[in-house]
Amino acid sequence: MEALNITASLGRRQILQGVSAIANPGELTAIAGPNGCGKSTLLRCVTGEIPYSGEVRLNGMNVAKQTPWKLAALRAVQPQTAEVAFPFTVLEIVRLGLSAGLSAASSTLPFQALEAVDLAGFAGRFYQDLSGGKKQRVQLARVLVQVWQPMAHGKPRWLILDEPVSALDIGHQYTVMDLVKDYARRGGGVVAVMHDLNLTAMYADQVVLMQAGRVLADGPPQEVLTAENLSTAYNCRVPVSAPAPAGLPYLLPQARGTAA
Amino acid sequence: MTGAAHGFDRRARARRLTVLLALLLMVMSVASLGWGAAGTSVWGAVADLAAGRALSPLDRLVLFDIRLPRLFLCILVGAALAVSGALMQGLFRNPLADPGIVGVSAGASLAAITAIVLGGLLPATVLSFAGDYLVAIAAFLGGWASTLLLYRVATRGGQTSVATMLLAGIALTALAMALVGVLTYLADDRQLRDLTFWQMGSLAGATWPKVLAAAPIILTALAAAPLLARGLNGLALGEAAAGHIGIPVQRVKNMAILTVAAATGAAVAVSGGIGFVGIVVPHVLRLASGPDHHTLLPNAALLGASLLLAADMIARTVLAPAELPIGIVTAILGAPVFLWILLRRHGAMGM
Amino acid sequence: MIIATQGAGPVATIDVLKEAGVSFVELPVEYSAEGILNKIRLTGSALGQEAAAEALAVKVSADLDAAGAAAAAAAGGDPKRVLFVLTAMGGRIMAGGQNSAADAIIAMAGGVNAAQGFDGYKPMSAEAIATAKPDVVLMMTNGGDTETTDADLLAIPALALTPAARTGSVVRMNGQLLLGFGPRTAEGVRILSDALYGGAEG
Repeated sequence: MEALNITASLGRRQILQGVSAIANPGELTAIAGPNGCGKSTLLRCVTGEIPYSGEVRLNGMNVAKQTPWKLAALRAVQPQTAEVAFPFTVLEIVRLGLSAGLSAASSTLPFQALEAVDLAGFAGRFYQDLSGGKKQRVQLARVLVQVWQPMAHGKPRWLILDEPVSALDIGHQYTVMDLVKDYARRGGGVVAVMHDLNLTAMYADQVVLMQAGRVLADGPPQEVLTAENLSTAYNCRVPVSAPAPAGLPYLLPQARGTAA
Repeated sequence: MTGAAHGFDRRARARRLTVLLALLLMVMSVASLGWGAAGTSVWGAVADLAAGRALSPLDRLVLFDIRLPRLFLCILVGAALAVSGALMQGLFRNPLADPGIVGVSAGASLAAITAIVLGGLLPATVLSFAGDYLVAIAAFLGGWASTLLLYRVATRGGQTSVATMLLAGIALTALAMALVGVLTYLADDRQLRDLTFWQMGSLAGATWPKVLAAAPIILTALAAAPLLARGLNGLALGEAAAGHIGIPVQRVKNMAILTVAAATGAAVAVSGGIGFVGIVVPHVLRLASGPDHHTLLPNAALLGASLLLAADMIARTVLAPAELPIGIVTAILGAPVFLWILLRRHGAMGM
Repeated sequence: MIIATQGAGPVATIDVLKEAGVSFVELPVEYSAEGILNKIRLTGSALGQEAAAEALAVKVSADLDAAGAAAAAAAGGDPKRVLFVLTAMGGRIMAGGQNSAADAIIAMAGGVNAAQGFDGYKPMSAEAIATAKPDVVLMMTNGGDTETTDADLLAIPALALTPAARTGSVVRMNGQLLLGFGPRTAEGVRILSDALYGGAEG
């Protein structure tokens, strides 16, 4: 998936100023950056929710020229906030991800998806009565059901997630990140807006670090999540350490007062 | 491992409900046919026909020219109102949206009344072309225009504000009623008394031509409604999410608006303003078998028809041989339900 | 001075007029010969013209008695069933029941009100009309061009099988003459009786 020279405005304010980024299938691409840097706006451009100039390509096709149902077969989008009108049950919400054509073979899919997000047994509960974290996982299950197989007809399918772990406890953060990482490993593409830099460092294959409507750096986390980049992006000192064995960088905010 | 095995799959329950509601409608239809001021008995008539005896002219008239067209009109109007309500609630993502409450019926009434009072001023060619359908067409256009206007006013950036919607509905109704007031100055004595019928709603005076005028529009709308079911389910997630699961959101919205306008307009054209059916029926059904529009829409049509048949039987009998306008009956039955929904949702309405 | 019929409104306006010291006379509404004479006498006394009013009352009383007697004679022992239809647009018939001016004038003209079982003017159920078997349909002339034609009126299913439809009997009369219950009511009774019974005894 490619975003080419995306510019977008909300009201009179220009939020994105010529953003280009690439996400590869088989990888988890994280979009990170401070509040208001435009990372959610970028996601909403990529999914076609708001008007933009530039071009978004998915598996080589210009997204703007595709019908909603064709795109829906290729990629699923998890929204950040998800209030649902009317008292739907969890099962009914997850089933919305099933496309109209699939029927008998897919009747167990929603249950598999619920189990995957650690919500087995919640199918009959009312969505509106759930906590924020459970709602978020129900939405993920719905999104998973929509593009259950990471590959279709030899082409990758895509998960586009807007802060998928923002309302989750640490255990479920790992559940969800493991799940989507596995999706990428099996050939699908995952693009996620991430707030938690440590989780980003642990799970992302590629990181797009944004600041003030532009891409500040992109590449593997080792290259992007450096103290220098993060300090520039977040406008405060962010020390980063990388212990030898795994080679993964990790943040140590506690070191803020001591290190130079 | 299927949902049915878990006992919480409401689709099976909703389908059983469809069968029950169809049976209920049949029972109500037979009851309605056998119920009236004249002592005509359906069973007597059936026995006569079966035995090859001719019906007495009065029985024939009462059954075939008075009760039967009224039965069909009642079923059509009840189904149209209930389905319009369900569609509108799906479109606005709010269980309080109802053509009667948010001013769509008022818009349709205004247009119909305009047609009654000022229709004579139209060029003769238009009149001869529109003919008996003039009032129905006017009501449809009025309903359409007010639904569009309402949607424009109450929806900003894909989010519908309930407060704005209800307030806009009040404003729209007030404006329509004010214009009706202007028309009453232009109307003669006879037209004036007729307008009263419009505002209260009545199924009296049902005739075959009326049934035949309303049936094509309402049946088309009812047939189109199930095509919107998946779209409306998706819209419950929000417009953006609906688009992402493959729903052509704009097309669904346009079609829903058109369907609501057609069904409400046609219903208003033949029966005047009958309120609350569109709010009570979908609400009860959502409680019984969930908000899935695949089953909600057909069930609403069935229950709406049955409910209006029951209301009509009440309207025909409480003051017999005089009749109560059916709009009064549905308002008495429906207004408390409306208040009950408001009370239950208090604090969670985003007002 | 204001002379009004009972029930004139709005109430607030009437109250203001009364409080303002305008002399205000209310004439009771009663659909009978007595009621008409009562109105004449009250109006006379309000205007200080008791003698003139009494003279008119005597004349009107005699006139009404004569018209009533003639109508009763015309009807003989076979009064016609009359349905007063206030409006019939859209096939919905609003009929005059008991305790209405229509009911009273029908009786004075030697007819029987076909609409039984309710008071005042109300929408009447189609089946009740069909079984009420009116011989004549009585309506007001409005002078407007929107009047329902006789053919349209009698084609309404509720009326289609009634004796009135079979004989095409629709009587239209000036509303004030028919329902006004004033000095001209005797004339109204005569016209209606003539329309019902052919005026043979004229």
